[in-house]
Amino acid sequence: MPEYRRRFRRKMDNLHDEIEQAGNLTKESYELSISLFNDYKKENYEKVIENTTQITKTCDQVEKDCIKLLATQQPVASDLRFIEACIKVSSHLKRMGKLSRNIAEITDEIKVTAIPSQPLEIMNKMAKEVNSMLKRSIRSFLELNIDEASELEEDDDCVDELFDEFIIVVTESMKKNKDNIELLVHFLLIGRYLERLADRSENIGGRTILTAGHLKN
Amino acid sequence: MNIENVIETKNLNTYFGDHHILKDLNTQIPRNAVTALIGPSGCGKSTFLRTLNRMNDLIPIFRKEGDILLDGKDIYSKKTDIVELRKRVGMVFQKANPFPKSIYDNVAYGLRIHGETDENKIDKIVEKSLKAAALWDEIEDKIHESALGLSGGQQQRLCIARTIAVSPEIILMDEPCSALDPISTTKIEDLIHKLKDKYTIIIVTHNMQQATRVSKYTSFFLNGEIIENNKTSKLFVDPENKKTEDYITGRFG
Repeated sequence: MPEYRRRFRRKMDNLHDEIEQAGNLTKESYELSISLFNDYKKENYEKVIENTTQITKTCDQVEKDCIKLLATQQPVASDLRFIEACIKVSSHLKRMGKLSRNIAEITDEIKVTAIPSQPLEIMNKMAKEVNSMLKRSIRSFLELNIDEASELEEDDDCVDELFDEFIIVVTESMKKNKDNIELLVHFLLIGRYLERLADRSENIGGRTILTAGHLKN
Repeated sequence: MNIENVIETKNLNTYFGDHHILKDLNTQIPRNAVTALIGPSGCGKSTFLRTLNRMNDLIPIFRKEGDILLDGKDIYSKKTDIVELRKRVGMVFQKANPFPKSIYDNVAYGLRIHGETDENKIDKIVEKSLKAAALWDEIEDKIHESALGLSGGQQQRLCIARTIAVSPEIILMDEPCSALDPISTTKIEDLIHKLKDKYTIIIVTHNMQQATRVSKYTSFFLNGEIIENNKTSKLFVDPENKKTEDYITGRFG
C-alpha cells in the first residue's frame, strides 16, 4: 500500500480510537450519575461534570477530523459510511454525556433518600437496562456488530414500556403525597432522561447497521 | 424504470496472441448515459473499449470469441461496415491527437471522408460541433489556424468536436483527461455532462473521483473480468463485492 494510503488508514484508525475514547467517557459518566442515587459522593458528581466537558471536546474533535478526511481524501464505500456515522455517533455521545450530567445535577439538588420506593425501583430497572444498552451500542458500533446492534430496537421498546409504567407510578405517588410533588417532578425528569438515553443508544445501533452495509456478511 | 441498453456483450473473450485478456464478459451498456470503466492498470478496460469499435482489429495478434451487439446487431458480422461502425462509435484518446491541419479542417475531415460535399452544410456542422464541444467561443476568430497551436485542453475538446461532427451514437473516451491540468479537466467533465443526454458515453478513467463526478454507471474490471457493474452512486457508497470495496478504498491497486 502506498505511504499516502497508509497515512489515511492511520487517520481512520485514529477516528475509531477517538470514538472509543468518547464512548468510554460517556459510559463512565452515565454509571457515575446513576450511582449517585444509591451512594451520593461529591467527587463522583464533579467527575460527571468534568467528563461532560471532555466528551464534548472529544466529539467536537471527531467532527473536525471527519470533515477534514472528507475534504482531503474523498473517501468512498465503507470508509465514507464510517466517517459519516462517526459524525452522527459523536453527536449522540455528546448528547448522552449531557443527559448524564442532567441526571447528576438532579441528585445534587434533591434529597434522594426521600424518593418513595416504588418509583425508585422502576427507575433502577430502567437505569440498569439503559446501562446495558449504552455499553452494547458503543461496542456494536466499534466492532460493526450488526447482530448486537439489531437487539437495541427491542431493548428500547422495553425501556419505553418501563417509562410508561414509571409515569403512572410517579403520578400516583404525587396524588398520595402532595408534599413530595416538587421532588417527584425532578424524579420524573430523570425517567425522561433515561428514556432519551435509550433512544440515543438505539440510534447508534441504527448507524452501525447502515455503516456495515452490503458486506456485513 | 427499464434501462435501454445500446451495447451488449455475450461471452466475450479476447486474446492478444496467447494472452487471454477479457474473460467471459457478459455486460450491457445503457443508452444515453455515462458509464465509467475503472480498475487497475492492465485489467482490460482499454482493450474492452477498443473492442467496441473494432480498433483492436488493427492489431494482427488480436482474436475475439463471443458477441458484441450494437442495437442488437453483431458488430463482428461479415456484413458490418467498419467505417460506418466507427462513425457510429467515435473515440477520444488519452493524448489529444488533432490532425496537422486547421481547426476547421480537423472537424470537417470526418464529414468529407463520409462523402459530404456541401460546403455550407459543412460550415454549419463545424460550428455546431465546436459549440457543442465548448470550444467555439475560444477559437471563433482563428478557426482556420493550425490546430497544433491550441492548448492541450483545447486540443482535446477539438478531438471531441471532431468526433461529434459525424453524429455518432456512442463516444468512447480512453482516459481523456489524464494528460490535462485540473481546469481543462473540469471543462472536459462539464462537456461530458452536456453531451450525455444526446450520446452514450463510455469513459475509461483511473481517477475514481472523476468516475463519481461524471458517470451514472460504473463497471469495475479486474484481471479481464467485470467484478461489479452498478449505478455509480451505489458502487461507491455500498459496493456489493469485496474486491470492489478493496479497490476503491485503496487497499490494493
